Amino acid sequence: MKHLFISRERILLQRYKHDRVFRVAGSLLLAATFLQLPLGVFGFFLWNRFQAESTAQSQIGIRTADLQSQNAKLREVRQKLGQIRQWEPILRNRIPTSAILSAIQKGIPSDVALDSILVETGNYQAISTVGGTYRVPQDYMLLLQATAKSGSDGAVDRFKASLAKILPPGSQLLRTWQLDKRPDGLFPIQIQYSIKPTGNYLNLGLTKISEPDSL
Amino acid sequence: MNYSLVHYFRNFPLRYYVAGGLLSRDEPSVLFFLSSDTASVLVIRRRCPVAYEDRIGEIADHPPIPGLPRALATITKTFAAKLLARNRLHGLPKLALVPDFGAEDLYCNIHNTRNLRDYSVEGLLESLHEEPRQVIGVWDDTRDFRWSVLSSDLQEVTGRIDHNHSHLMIVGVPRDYCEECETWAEAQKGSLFGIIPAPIACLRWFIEKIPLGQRTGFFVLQLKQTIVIAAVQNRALTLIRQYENDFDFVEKELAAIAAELDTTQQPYICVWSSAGSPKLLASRLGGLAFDEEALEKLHGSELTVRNGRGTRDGVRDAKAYLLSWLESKIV
Repeated sequence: MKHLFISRERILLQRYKHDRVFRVAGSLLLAATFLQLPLGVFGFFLWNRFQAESTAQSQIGIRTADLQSQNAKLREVRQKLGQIRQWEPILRNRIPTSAILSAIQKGIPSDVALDSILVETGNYQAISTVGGTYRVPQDYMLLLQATAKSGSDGAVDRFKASLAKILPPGSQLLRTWQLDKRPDGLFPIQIQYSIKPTGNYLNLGLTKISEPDSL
Repeated sequence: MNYSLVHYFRNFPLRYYVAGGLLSRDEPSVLFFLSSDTASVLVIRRRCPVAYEDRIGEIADHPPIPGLPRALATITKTFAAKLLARNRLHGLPKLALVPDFGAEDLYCNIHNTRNLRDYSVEGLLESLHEEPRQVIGVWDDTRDFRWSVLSSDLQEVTGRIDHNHSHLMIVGVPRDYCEECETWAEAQKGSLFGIIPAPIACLRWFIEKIPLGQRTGFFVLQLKQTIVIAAVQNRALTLIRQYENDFDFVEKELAAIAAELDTTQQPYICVWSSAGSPKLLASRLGGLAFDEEALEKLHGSELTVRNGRGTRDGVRDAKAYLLSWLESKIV
């Protein structure tokens, strides 16, 4: 008489609740679900992290695209800057010859007559630029020939001391030698200096340009 | 029963399992005898009667009672929840309803299997569902009924109708009432284990418990609206009749049935009453009244329920004995 006049659907639902087989199946299902719970929690956090990283990645992508578009606009400027930079070793290895000459003129003692000034270059480096290839000297040689007046002892030494003060740092006195006696009875002296283009020409009386012109 | 994995997963009773139903083994059984004048309920836990309450038809949200219109009431707590709380019980109840139908709401009759056209119980139920006149012959009720087929000893039968069953009992009750009961049980968050018409429950109880031997017995059930007479031979029902509550008519009918059965020995007549004492009708019919003493012997001991003082009180009600026996059978 059990389940008399109860609909089949209701009987099935009640058996799911009360029959031993279905209860065992339900227990196993719930236990299996419970065991999956840590995995589910881990998966949830993993999913959250994945979502956050995806968001950050998309933001980075947008930023990258933005920067790339900005970068494209600067390509021409960069190209011009590159061309200018090609001139950098050429300009760096220059020395202000006129300033050196001016300094020599100022530093020469009154009892010393300067016969000749020779500036030579050497140790060339080939540098390519847009306009062509330039040979840029790495070493400069300054050769002075001077004659001290008679009776002026130590004039040449004063001259050399004066040159040591005005020539750029790193300049080196290579040699000093006395030439043959001239018909007027004076002995000309040759002084040879090696000058390196260091960029520091403050001794020559040059000053840095405080604000360089913008490009 | 057509089980399927998909149906199981779709209707997985997760809430019931999570609410403790999965591990609970002592859910209370709540059995109702539903008559329009004396509706009562017996609460049993672990095979032990806990409470018996009468006149529950006056309480809000009571189960559907045949012949009594349902009053719509606003409730905060279901009937079953309040009942269990009153008796300090918990869990989801297992429900069983024993309605006392009127004659027009209950069809029950014994049919000779030779007169049935269907070869299986399933086919017979299908025929009854399609058109009861295909089986019953005279049927003028326009309502839908739910049908059940029982053997002559009131056991459920299925499959082929063979020579093992010379008689079958066909029982039908209104579909509307059954659906109303199912809806009510669902609202109570309980499991409905059966809607067993009172005569069917009583007769099954008596067939099982009363040793008639080879003698013919008549079980007379005095219910609220009807008097049911059932003839039992060799522990099998051979005849069942429902009558209006008219003692004189029943007395004449019983004599006629006894003559029809042509019994050589004087038949036993047992009278059971759901409302008052069966002694009056039993004396009229010359039978044995199933009064309190007889029911106590039938039950094997006095039926007791606990009271508020921690002791147990005896329940001297015929319906309580019926419900107590029924609980052991269906819940």
